[in-house]
Amino acid sequence: MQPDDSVLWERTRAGDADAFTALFERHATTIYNFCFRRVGDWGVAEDLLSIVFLEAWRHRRKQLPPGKVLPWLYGIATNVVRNRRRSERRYRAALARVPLPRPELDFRDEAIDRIHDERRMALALELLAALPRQQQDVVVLCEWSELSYEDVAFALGVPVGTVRSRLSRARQALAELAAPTGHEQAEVAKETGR
Amino acid sequence: MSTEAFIPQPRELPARRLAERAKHLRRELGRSHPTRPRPRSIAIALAVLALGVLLVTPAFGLHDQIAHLFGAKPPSVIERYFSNDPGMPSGTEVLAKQARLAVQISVSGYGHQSLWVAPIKGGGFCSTAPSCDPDRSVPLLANLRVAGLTSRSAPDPRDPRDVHVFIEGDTLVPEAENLAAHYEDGSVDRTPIVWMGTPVNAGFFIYEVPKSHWEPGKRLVALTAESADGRVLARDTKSARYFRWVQKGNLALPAGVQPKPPPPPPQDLCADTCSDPEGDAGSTLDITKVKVTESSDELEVELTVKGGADLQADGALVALDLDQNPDTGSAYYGTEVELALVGGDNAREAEPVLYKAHGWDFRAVSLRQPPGGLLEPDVVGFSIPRKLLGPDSEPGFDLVAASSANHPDTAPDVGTYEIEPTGGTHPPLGPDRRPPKLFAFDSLGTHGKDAKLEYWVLEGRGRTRQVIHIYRGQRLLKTIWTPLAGANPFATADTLWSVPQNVRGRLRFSVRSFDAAGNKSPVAWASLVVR
Repeated sequence: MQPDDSVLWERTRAGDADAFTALFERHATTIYNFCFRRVGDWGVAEDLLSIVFLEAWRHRRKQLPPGKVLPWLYGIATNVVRNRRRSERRYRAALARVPLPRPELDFRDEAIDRIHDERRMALALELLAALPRQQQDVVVLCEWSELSYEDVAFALGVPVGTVRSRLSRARQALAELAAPTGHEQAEVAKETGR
Repeated sequence: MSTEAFIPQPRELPARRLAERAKHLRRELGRSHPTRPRPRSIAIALAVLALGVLLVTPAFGLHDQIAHLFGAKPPSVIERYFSNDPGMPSGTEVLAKQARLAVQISVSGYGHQSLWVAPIKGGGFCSTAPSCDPDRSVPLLANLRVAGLTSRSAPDPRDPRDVHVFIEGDTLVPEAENLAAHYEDGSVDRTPIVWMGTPVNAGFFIYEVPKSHWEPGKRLVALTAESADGRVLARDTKSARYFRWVQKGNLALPAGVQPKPPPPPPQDLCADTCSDPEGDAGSTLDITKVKVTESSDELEVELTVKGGADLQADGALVALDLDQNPDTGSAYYGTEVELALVGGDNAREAEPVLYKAHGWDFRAVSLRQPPGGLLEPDVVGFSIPRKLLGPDSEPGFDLVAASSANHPDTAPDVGTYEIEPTGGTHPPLGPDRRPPKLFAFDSLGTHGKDAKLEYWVLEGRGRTRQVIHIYRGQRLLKTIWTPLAGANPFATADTLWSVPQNVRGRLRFSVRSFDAAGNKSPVAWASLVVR
């Protein structure tokens, strides 16, 4: 049985690279998908995944409450995505050492799916971009990543009440953005007979 | 309408890519420095140094506004500085409105130098040093700032009269009362630490490095935070390294302290007879006079010994630096030839042995016709055919005589005699590029008493300083800097350490020796057992 995150993190704090690699293997998919949902590009998300964990290793002396390793990684990922250019610049040398992807067998279908994903994600991000940055973070973490309010608060370093209020405002704003207006509204009414 | 409708289902990173990324991460972890402290702060310090170097160059057109950014007092400037990401991880907040002036010093010909501090929400603080310490993890942080007049009307921005070097920073060690600056020449300068209360709870300092300490041989070695009773609580050497780095670049030395050639080895000029004080011998053989007689085919050296020469106890030797260059030949003041008369039961029948320089040491040369020796009640003499000394275009040479004992008497006490039989002058010396040779010896001590840390340092020009670190396991217990002083290669040296009452057991110490030109020996290690 694998030790839980907190145990692995304590070992990481003591400089154990194996423990940290185990954390990477455990949470790579989660953070990879989170990064994709922030940038809409699977390739960039893969690089950001590496940066998030390199950044976490850089801050490995940080003491984390039990059960908060993943929320903390989300927090780092949020900052990495927000400061994407700076993060990529900082780790440019490290990223240059990533082996180039080799052709994957049976990857063709998935490649098409991934392109489709990126198109859908672009629409979602376009909608999200209308929100203030802080509200975007809360929407992505609460709704898209399904973190609890408490974990989101920990990840962003804000009180739980702030998470709730930001999410509430974000939902309201998104509802207004998505509501049909003008001729759209009239056509909807005609179709439904109202 | 919800945005969730657009969100694609999570996907796995392809297994091969995941494995490659994990492998890559593992490799990168190995690359990162395990104990690298506050890389952001270091980067900021380097950036500020670079800015400082630029500021003293008018061609870049950076003038008063930038120069006064850190030194000016208007709170709005300081507030903007703290509001504008002074090196904090994103997501944390510096309380810029709560910024306070921690230290301000007045510098003649420059104005005021100030250090402002602002707390961080959730703990820690940022300062204009510049640094941020949200985790409160660094006991002593010192940054070097090169500052000065930058207006275009300044006569010459590289003129060191207009340039000032400051050390600014903070300490978290509650007992710290003073910041001590340790210099290469062994001197120490102290400046008080100013403490700020809650929520900052740290001590701050600004110290100007005097221009007299910009000169090689007198430069900054380390900074320590000290308690009121002089105990070293924390130590920093980065600032000293940055200072040398800046000096290599664009920082001119003040007028009047341009680098001087290192001093020649201490020498007494003798036509043919040199004297050495009586009663300065730690052994039975007390050399009081050295007489040299040269003829066209032979060189004779006579040592007058007070109280009689007992070669059953000690031997005697003379070593010659034929090319009068202490940076070539053996590590014994650069001597190339040594004649030694070592006693025994049949000492009166003993013959001198000729040694020639071999690496840093000597190697005996077997001769069909050995050199001559003379042993009288008060005289030990050597004679050697000139042809054995090799071709010699100059009649002058340098000489040192010594007893070969555990605590030898050497004549002179440090360095060599310059023998100029025809009244010639010493040839000029080039730059000294040869580092000292160093050995450390296992030592013993008693807790609560002085322990003698023994080592042996050999330096051609006869002047060194040492840096000694004492460890228990990986933990540094003490650092000792010895001042630049004469180093006699014919004797071992020692430095005393007052062992604390609570320290016992097996320790270890390292020694590194620096000569006057700054050449450094490799580090030598030895054990120290404290009973």
